[in-house]
Amino acid sequence: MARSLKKGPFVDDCLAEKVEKMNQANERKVIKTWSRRSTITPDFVGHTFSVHNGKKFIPVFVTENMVGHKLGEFSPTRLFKMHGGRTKK
Amino acid sequence: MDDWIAVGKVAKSHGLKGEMKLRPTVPDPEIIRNLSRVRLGTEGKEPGERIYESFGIRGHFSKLILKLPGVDSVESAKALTGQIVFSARKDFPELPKGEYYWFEIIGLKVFDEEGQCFGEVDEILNAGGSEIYVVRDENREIMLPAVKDIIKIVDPEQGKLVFHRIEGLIEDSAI
Repeated sequence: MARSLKKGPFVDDCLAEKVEKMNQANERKVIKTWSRRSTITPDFVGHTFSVHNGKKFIPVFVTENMVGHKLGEFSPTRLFKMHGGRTKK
Repeated sequence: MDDWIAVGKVAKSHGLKGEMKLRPTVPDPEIIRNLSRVRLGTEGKEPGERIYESFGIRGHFSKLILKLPGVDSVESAKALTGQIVFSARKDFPELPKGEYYWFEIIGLKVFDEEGQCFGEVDEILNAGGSEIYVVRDENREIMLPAVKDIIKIVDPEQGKLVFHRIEGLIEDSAI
């Protein structure tokens, strides 16, 4: 069942605080986090998070179309290795 | 001389007329659709001398059937099981500016904007949001998200990739 809209998105407090501080100071640093459960809010856009996948930290650069998803969705815990097709810079 | 790139693997024989199931190792159907010449070979080695030009490919992208000239029996098809199918680099479709094939990126030397070398791109991971370049040298591994804000210059001709170093991005980790 989906999360009630009344509650709003869940973001771990420590992570929200870090992002807020960096936004106020207009800083760009990589934020290391284990909080895969945190929802990506519009404040996160443009920041880079290092999200733990259980083994190592995967860098996640947040773009607008990631808003509403969880950070863990972008740090896969199982990696299927295959040749890539094309890659954008 | 052409460069030859692995695009698939012969999975097993199909039927009795020498057809084979081809398992593509590239996710882009466009590449398979544009194949005009193929060579067979084993992984990690130069492909065989013979170039197949008038071959047939049919079926859905995930279940392709390959028919090579001269392979007309189930026995000869079975003998080719496990072979890698290579395509000429020239036959790959042209990409728009700013897009690259994986084989152009893998092997590039990685530098930051100050000129410090961090090794070579060893692997490309698809992490859902963006691709991630895994850069390795002898004793460390770093990961770079393939986004414009981080990757500043990609120059396959000079074999060089330059990235913008932000605090916390380089975390040394022993392999």
